[in-house]
Amino acid sequence: MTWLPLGWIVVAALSQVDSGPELIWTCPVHREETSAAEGLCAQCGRPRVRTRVTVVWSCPLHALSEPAAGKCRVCGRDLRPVSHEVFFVCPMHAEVREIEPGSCPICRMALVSSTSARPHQDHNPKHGGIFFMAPDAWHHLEGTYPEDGVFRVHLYDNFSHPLSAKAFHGRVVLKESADPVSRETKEVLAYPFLPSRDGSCLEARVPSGSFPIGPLEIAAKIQFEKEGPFERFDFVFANLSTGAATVAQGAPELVVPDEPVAIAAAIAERDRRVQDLLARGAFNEIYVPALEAKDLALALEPHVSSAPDSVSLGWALKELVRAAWLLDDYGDLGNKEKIHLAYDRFAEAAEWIASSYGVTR
Amino acid sequence: MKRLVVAAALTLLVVPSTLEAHKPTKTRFTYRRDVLPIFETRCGSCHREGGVAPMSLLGYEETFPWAVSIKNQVLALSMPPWFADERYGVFRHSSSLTASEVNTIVDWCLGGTPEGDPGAAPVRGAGVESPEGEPDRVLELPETFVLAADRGEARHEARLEIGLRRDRLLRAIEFLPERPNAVRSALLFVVPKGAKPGAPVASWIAGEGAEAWPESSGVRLPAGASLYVRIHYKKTWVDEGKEIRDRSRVGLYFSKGKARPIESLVVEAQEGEGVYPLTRDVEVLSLLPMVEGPLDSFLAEALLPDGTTLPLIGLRGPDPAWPRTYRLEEPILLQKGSRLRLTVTSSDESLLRAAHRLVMNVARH
Repeated sequence: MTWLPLGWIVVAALSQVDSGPELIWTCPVHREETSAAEGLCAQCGRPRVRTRVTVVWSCPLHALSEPAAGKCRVCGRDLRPVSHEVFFVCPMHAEVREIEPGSCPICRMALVSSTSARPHQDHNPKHGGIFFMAPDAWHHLEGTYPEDGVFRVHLYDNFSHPLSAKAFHGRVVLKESADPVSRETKEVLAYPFLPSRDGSCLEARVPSGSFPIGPLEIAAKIQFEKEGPFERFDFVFANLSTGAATVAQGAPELVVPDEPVAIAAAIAERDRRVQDLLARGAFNEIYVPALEAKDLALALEPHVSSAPDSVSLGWALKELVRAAWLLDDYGDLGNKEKIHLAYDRFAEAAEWIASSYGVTR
Repeated sequence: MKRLVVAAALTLLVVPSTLEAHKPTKTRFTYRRDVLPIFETRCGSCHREGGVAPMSLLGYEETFPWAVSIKNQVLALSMPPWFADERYGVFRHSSSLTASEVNTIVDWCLGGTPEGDPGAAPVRGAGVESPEGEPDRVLELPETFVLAADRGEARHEARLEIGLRRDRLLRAIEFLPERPNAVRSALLFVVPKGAKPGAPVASWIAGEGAEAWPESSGVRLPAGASLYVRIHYKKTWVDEGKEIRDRSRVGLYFSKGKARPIESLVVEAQEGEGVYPLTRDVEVLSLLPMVEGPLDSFLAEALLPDGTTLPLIGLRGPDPAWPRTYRLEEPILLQKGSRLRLTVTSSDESLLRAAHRLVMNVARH
């Protein structure tokens, strides 16, 4: 083996970086704020800083990262992709942290690469439950239904790192009634959440047998900040939660048909898939068929002028595009009422498009 | 060769370069090439330097910090403030976004807000429509209106004397705010001598140009009539804590030749519904919905003598803060015996009891 001077390796590393991790701009505090250009953070106005990002494969439970897909070395779980920031540190001086490789300005030692996780890149359940993001876009939570009479909520930060449940309050709502005049909803049957003994989750215990057999609809109302509102999250469990971490599967590439009738039929098919996911309460999966329908609607737009009722069809396409983005947004938040309101708009537009081309929904 | 292989192996230990790069900039749209042209056309009359909106959307640095807000406003149909549903009528000067425009804006807002090539699209001025020629008469508010530093908004009414000795016809009218960044909207009424204001003949909202009626028609200005203006002042956060002084003006453009007089018909909804019987043939030119609160929907239809129904205008989520006149792309002829029906819906029952109105500018047929 021939040993090489250290400087030679650094030069090689530089060339790798240029074609490897992507260079972006992000807020030093709100790391989810990213942009291709420098400027100010949309949330706090701080100047954005340069950052390099890459993808590593991480265990849902153990803080281990690997450069490629595979199994966790500790527990054997499937690794899932997580976005990491790439930076270069001095082995001797912890305060030195650069986004370009090079040498330490203090001791001239070669910097070595290091990574840290980026926020909002991991929405995979860690306990086999259902994962949502809070409206504050910082907190995340996972609801699980591990056994009859037990509902748990695990709380996470914006990096999907677990948070102690002792800092949160909430209740689980099993039954509500709505006033037909004022449309106000009242809780008829609700139980408080209590932190589990080890503080790892909020837990609500209800009388055994209170849950129906079959799909279980349950709402969690969680207060994230003292004096803040109780945010609602709607969960539907078809089965008991297994406890195993799961990984969301990406959607295959969308194939757009050439003919307007076929495009309209494809939109109707996506509408049926959205309906099915709504019925099953799989809110965080709705974005896939919804955004596919949106792309199909955009493909239909050039054909609008030749449609019999072009004005109304144009309306339906823009309505579907808006509603699809809302379904994507609200699906992440797990708020059933908002999701259904968005779906009403989506369905009306899909119906209009289908009838314009004689397609059966 | 051997040296190169070893160097490559060591490099992989230092940088995880074999990984597929994550793409935080997820959108294929850029501000300069794709987004700015939409903002210029649809938003630029208000969202420009010195406009009524608190921020300009005609520059990248000013725009991208608002990405989340822009996305939310566009998806909620709040911006641009155009509430007409195309299924019920086609109107001129629509600021409604197309499907691909909605998608471009939202995708860009969510996808990392890239700027793109600054040379790709020069910024064009977002103009508003002005009538041909100079105004025949310019009227000014009798006094400067002062919006105190501790007030966020106010409504102000004033009577402006026109000083006509003989009847004239107006072909266009233009509201000219002195402080466009503080004037949200205005309603303009022609008031004959000794009368009280009836229905407005024109409306103006921030970012709009003049109200110009189709050639060969005009609004009658009787001798001795005055112009009455009802102005809605509203500060943006940029002017919070500041005193605003405004002395707006109104430009009048007279018809030179003969023209058909335009009249205003008013349909009022009581308990959510109202009907107005037409006693003569009319040609509908424009429609000004006047709502007393944020409604879910507003629908005006003509029940024709042959039993069929013709939609005139449908609004979704109309907002009283934006009293816009919707000008029909093609005038609608309604025969004597037709009945105009107005239906409004709201989840707030108290709002249904308010008197919501539709003002129709019509010309005799």
